[in-house]
Amino acid sequence: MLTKDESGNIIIGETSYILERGVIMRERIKSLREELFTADPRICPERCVIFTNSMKKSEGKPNALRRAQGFYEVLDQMTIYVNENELIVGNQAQWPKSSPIYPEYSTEWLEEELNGNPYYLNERPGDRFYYSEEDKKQILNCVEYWKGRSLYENLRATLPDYINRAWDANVIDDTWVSAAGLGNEVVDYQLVVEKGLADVMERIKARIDTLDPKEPGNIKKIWFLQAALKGNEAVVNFSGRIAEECERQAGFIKDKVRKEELLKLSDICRNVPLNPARTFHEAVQSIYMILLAVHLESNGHAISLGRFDQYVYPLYKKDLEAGRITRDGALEIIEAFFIKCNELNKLRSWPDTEFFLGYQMFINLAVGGQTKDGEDAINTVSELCIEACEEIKLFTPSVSIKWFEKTPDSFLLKALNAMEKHQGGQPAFYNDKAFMRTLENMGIPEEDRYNWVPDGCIEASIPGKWDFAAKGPWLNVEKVLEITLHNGTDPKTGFHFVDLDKKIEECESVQEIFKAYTRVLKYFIDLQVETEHINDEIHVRQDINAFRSSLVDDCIGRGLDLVEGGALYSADGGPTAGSISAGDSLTSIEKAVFEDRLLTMKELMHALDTNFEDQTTVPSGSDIRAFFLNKSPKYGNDDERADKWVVALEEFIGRVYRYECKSSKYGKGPIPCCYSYSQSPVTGNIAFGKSIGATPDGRKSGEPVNNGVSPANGAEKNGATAACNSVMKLPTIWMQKGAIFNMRLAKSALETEENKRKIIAMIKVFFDNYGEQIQFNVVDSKIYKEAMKEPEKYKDLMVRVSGYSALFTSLSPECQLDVISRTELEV
Amino acid sequence: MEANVFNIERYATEDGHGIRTVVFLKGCALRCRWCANPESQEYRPENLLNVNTCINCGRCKNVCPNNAIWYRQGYGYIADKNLCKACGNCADACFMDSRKIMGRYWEQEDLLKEILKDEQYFKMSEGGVTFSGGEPFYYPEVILWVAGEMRKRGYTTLVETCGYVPLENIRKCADALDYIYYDFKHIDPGLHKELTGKDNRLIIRNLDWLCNNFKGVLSVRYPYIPGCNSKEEEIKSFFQFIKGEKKIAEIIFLPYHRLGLPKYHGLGREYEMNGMKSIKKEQMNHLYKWAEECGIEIKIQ
Repeated sequence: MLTKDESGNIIIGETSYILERGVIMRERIKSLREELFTADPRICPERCVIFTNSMKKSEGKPNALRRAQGFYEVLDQMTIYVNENELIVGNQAQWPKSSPIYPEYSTEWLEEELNGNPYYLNERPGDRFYYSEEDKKQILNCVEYWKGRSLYENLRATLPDYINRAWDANVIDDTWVSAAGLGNEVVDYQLVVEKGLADVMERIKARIDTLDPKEPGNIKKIWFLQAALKGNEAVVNFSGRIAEECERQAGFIKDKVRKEELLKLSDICRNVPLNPARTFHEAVQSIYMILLAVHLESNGHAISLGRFDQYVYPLYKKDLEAGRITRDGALEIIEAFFIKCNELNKLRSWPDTEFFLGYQMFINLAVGGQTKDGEDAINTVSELCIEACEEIKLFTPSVSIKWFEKTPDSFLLKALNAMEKHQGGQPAFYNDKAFMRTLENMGIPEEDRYNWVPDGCIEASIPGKWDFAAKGPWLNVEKVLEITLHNGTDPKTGFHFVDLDKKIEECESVQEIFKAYTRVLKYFIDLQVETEHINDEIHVRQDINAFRSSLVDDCIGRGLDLVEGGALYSADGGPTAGSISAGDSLTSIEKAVFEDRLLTMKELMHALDTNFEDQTTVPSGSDIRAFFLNKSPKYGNDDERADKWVVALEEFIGRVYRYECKSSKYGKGPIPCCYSYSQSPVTGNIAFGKSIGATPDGRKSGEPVNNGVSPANGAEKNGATAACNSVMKLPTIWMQKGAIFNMRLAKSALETEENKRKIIAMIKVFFDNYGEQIQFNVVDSKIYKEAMKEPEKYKDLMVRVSGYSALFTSLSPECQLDVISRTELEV
Repeated sequence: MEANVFNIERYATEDGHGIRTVVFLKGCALRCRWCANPESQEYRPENLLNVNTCINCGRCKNVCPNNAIWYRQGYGYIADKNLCKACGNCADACFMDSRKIMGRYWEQEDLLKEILKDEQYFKMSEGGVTFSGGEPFYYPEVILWVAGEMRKRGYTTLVETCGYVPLENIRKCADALDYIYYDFKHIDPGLHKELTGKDNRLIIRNLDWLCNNFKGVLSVRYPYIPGCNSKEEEIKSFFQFIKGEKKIAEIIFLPYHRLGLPKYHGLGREYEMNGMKSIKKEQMNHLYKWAEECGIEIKIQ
């Protein structure tokens, strides 16, 4: 029999629990979670003002030192808050969910958008941010200083015209890593937990001592190392300020229990992250502090947490054995930590936001996988992370299961149960086997491969040893097909990019068209690489972030920042979007023009150029479109006629990136410095689709292209296994940055344990065949439609759009419709 | 050997243990009023229109060499089953993919190849093939061969039958099967005939034979159709009868649904169940009590 208090809450031990939606949630966690939902996303001018003032004072000095000084001043002067009930403390801005501003990366859009062009930040179609007039004034004031100095503006001014044209035509796009900082990084949390920043600082000092400033090249290294030291001091000082705030509150608070908690928190924040964590609670607080600091140093996103269950478990075990913690107590700390991760936020320009809708931070947290000896690595903390994910139903951090041959089915079942309740596609499932094969091909040594983690959406990284798991321009693969079909010219902008040997209308086979297509693809891939070399040079000049670099091997040893080649491992490349749509387009051309002879290429091009709306032709525009949509085979149905084109395309792109492209760090230390790519377009498939006219896959002008490696919307007709079989054909060996496979399941597919075991079997077959990742959406369209009508009632309804989950109501209507139109597989 | 297949469904989760591919075979001797697969009943291929996606362009009518298609008020462009030779020209010409010839003769080797596309999933989940219909036991040779090939590879075979077939057909392939789902529609021979066109004596005899001879797992499935076979005495008499049969692993009740309705329209046929709504599992909970009173265990799917 359960004991209940006056308000009907369940009492277990000394804790009061609230029974909500069939899940027992601690009262503290419930209130912290509620606080999170009542807070409006805002922009916070503090970091912007402090940093700008600091940079004004240090003009002329080396960038590494200037940025480190600015970082120190920000952490020293920004507002600190410790809110009621908090167990994990610290903040990124003045209020939860507010975004600091980083004007050093770009200014034009900030000024424009603060003045309402194209939207006021608080009136955008999605991802709104609120602010006061005073906030706006302060930020605009800073922007004045950064005009002509910011990274993005410098990049665009430096790029040759032919690249800017490709960018303006939306074929490639490098906004995400130039109008904001670089991210997709997993620093060495294990090091921080085990040894503390004290160890890092000692090693920095020791390294400085070995560098003779008279030796050529050493001065720059010394500057970097001094900056790194300053950065570490900044973080220790920041934690000390939080400790003071806890102490201050403890001084006047009446509640005895909370007073003790605050004193304990103060003690924790003085010990970590400077020193090794003594307890589980300290370990988690230490990690949160590092997470905050890395986000405050630069605003690159996808700063992920790595193998959280592995590096905090020793402390959990120690505490448990010493009787200092219970399983429930640890769960509460993890949940408090997850909630705090949701306080971080990032303002992006509106065009960039369209690629990343849903207030995304892409903080990925991996559990499971294998140990160094190839044994199952699951421990109690892995389980607790799944339970936290299930109970609090938030989208950050994205909880990811690393699967390998020995992962027990019981753990997958637990994860599926959590996913069913979470309703936002978490946890998602990732395959060691596939990613380790890819990393082997890239020359990553065996002793590090097992330790790979998904970073951000899915990009593979080796924690503490890899610089940026993804970085570089996006590639709009279906746009490139459109340009090819228009003989090298973009029909929208009129820019001519490539001369083809033969006019498309005169091609006698789809193979000839494919050949022309690969030639144009190569042209734009080369532009991507050139763009990123230029972008890197500008980052080296003005974006040194020594603190985070000091937590990645071997930046201290080499005296180099991540952007200069400090990390052991590095490979460039960003997401591509639309290769499935492009493959389907080739299939349509093959069938309609060269097999069924329904149309000539010229007639096909006319249908595309008139957006399938010319009804005077025979067959009519709408008939042609219906033929493309319904009669042409589509990828996702285990149909070789369609799958072969997608595979050919991925093979081409993957091999070129792997073997024909070098990043700017090549030869400077990191390996392998090739390119790779991801198929995790987030909402980039919608953003990119806008610039593409009608295509032979039946897409109308402006519609989204496919999402990840999932079949195009409405294309799956043969059921889940057939869809898996198609996806399994893709050469994932080339995709270090991952391929997202998003499968929507009817609720009934998960209803019984027997049905869940069928899904587990399906996942295992998929993974055995080198599928990289699979995630599920388990909500019916009816609920989404209701949520569109009455968003107020569905504030916490989530959806996994692609490699991440988002609050459904935060997505633009366009994106919401995209979610709804995904085929619901009645498996 | 070949079989007339009108549909193949992969990753079927409601048709047996593990991940299964369901092969729907055409032709059935019964004409159950509630039949959800009217396109399964005739032995020969049929021309089915998807009324919901058809845009009434009329191209099908124009390409039909037998003038079998014309517009029928309230239905759309329906093919006359006496004139249609199932050549498929209309289906090829339909850009909306709204028309299909239901039923294509498959060589057993091709059928096996298609089934084995999901072989890895069968292996991982202890799944296999399920033959449904129509009445699969009209194709005992094909089933026997496919089931043998499946067993060789370690996968299972299930047959969903209405039981109205010559015993000889069942006898031929029973040993090769791992599971049989045996439909039972009504206990009273007269009412059975009224509802399905045939009385139930052959069905009962065959079931009896299976109970004494079948080595695999035998389940009996009762489609619960309000107003047809749902009365207390009807169901309780069924319980009494089934109690006497041995070797029945489970008794499963299937709630009536009206998802077959558009297919009746697409074949140009009337739907005899008219306005009756699909029922939910929860509306059948009283069956548990009746079963308990009769001392047997049932499930509702």
